[in-house]
Amino acid sequence: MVLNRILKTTAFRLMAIYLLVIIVASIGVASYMAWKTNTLMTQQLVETISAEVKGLAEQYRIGGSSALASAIGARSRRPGSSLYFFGAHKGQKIAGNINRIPNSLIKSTGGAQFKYVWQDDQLKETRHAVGIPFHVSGNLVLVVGRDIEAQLEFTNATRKIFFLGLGALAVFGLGAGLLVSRNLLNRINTISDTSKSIMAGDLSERIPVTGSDDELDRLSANLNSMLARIETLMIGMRQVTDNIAHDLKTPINRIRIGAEEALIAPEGKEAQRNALQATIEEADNLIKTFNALLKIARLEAGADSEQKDSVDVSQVLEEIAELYEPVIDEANMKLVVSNTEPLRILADRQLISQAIANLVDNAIKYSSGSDQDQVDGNKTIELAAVSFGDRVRLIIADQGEGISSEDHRRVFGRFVRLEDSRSKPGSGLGLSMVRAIVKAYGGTIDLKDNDPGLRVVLSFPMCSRAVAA
Amino acid sequence: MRVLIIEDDLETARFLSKALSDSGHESDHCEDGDLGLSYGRSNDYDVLIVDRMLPKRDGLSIIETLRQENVTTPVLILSALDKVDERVKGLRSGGDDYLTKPFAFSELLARIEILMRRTTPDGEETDLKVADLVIERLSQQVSRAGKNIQLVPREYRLLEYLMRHKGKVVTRTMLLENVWDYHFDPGTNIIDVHISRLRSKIDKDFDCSLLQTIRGAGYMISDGA
Repeated sequence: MVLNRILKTTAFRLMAIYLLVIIVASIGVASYMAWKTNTLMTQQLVETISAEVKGLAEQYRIGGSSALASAIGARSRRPGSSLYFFGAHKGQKIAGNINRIPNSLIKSTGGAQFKYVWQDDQLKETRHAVGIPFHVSGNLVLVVGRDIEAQLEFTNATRKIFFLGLGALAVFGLGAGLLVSRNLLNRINTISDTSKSIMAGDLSERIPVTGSDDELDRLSANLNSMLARIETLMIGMRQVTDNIAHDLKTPINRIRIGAEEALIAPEGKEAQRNALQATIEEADNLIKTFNALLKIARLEAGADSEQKDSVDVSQVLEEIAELYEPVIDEANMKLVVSNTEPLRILADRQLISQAIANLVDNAIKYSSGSDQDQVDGNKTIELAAVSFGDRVRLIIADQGEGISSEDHRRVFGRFVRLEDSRSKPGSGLGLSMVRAIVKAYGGTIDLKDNDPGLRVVLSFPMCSRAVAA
Repeated sequence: MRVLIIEDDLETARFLSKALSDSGHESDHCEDGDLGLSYGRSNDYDVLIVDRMLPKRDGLSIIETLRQENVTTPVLILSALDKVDERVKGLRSGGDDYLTKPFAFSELLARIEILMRRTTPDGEETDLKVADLVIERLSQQVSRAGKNIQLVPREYRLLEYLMRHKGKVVTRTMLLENVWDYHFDPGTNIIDVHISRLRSKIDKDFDCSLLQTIRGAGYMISDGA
């Protein structure tokens, strides 16, 4: 079962195909080499023999058959010598170390292979040789041959070793293939098992990363970051539904009360009008809250952030300052805008403007605070855009009540309203929206003590080139 | 004036017809896109109110087709799709204004009344005049009863917008969108403060107030007849 699955893996199949190709190629190469070597050796042999035949023929020409016979006799006695036969065509031997003309050479004019019986004190065996016949004169024949047993043995041994090696290679290769495939299969199984348990609902599960930094590791790491992203989105979704449950039911209930009140009130009277007016206001607020929630959720899901333009934030600050200046003036505060030069970031002008507007609105709300009776006219709201390395910083600072440092993280949550601010108008979504917008464009948001007041620092990656405005 | 409502939600359509007839306008209603297109082609209307997501044919396709056929009736797109790029898409297809659902009827009424008048293109007249208040648009000079009035650029654009639509109610959202080009709610009473500043410059020293606040709707500049 397991073996069956391993055999089916892509890794194993690739390995097997590869192995087969290697084996076929090796056999091809080795056969060619063997054939070539054999041809060369045979050719050499034939040349050697031909040279000897020529030499002996020369002896015969000079000294006749007796000289040839004695030369052959002398040569035959040397150890490791060639094979000789000199005698009559019909078999009568005059000299030499083989006793008759080998059958295969009788009719041959060139050379041929033959077998002969070799004998020493202990052994008697049939061996292979190659020989060339030479018709000396009349019916006298000279045969010179060379033993090729060693060459054949060598060829056989080589062939044996080669096939043994090939067999070993195949066995080893298939074994290694099985092991590697099993290893790979195990790792893939881990990934698919983890996926199954994630599909079953456990989004916090992660695929183990071995640390080898190979392609499977990188795949796992990428899948993990994908899972992390999905989990964040799911948590965000859950938060939205929780928020809807908690914070939207109350205003919906108020709308219901308003409608009921209008129904009870005497027709056409002031009370009925007022109740309906209040109901519409509640509904409008609810719609605003709902829109803000949707917008935040969409920003956090990254649905809006692909809409990017090069935006000059100095100009955005100026425009927002211009929008709020009369209100700030009316609240007896001062507005200071310090911009140096055009600073561009990649964002959407509407959303960045909204983020800054929210912050300025907060600054106004929490500066013209509870100490209304001692407004001194010196409270300042400061807006600034500065470049900081390869980043652009936007600063919105007020001299209001500030936020204590332990609340700095908390205030970005949806519907979070600090105790002392509950008396002021607001939905508790302003800062959540700001953070969602800032994050959507790769920015960070920091709250600092302005001593007194709050100093909000937004930091965005600078966009160097000016895209068409 | 005659209004064509192309809207598949019967409740919304019924409310619109009723409210329009209460404000003295006639209206017809189509429930789906194909019907809406053939009604729209008749050229019998002063303004079209078009929902975006409709059965059979979507709102943007109706507008595009009408514009290709040279039907120039002003179109107000009414849609629940409120992202900035959806608005851009709507206006690009040939719509003249874009209002997101849910909406206040006063807002819708103000917008269609302005659309109806828009059949004469903007900027054709050089000078704008309401009673004795005059904007010379070439020199950007503002004067009332012959007296020069100094306005900062934004106040000038605010006044210009109001005067271009004299006698019509202009809502706060319309001002934010057209004078400031902001499509979000900046909170508090920002527009009111800008208006009161403008008012102190053009109305304060004179007997008759030209810039009026219309309760529950917005602002209007008129001869004060």
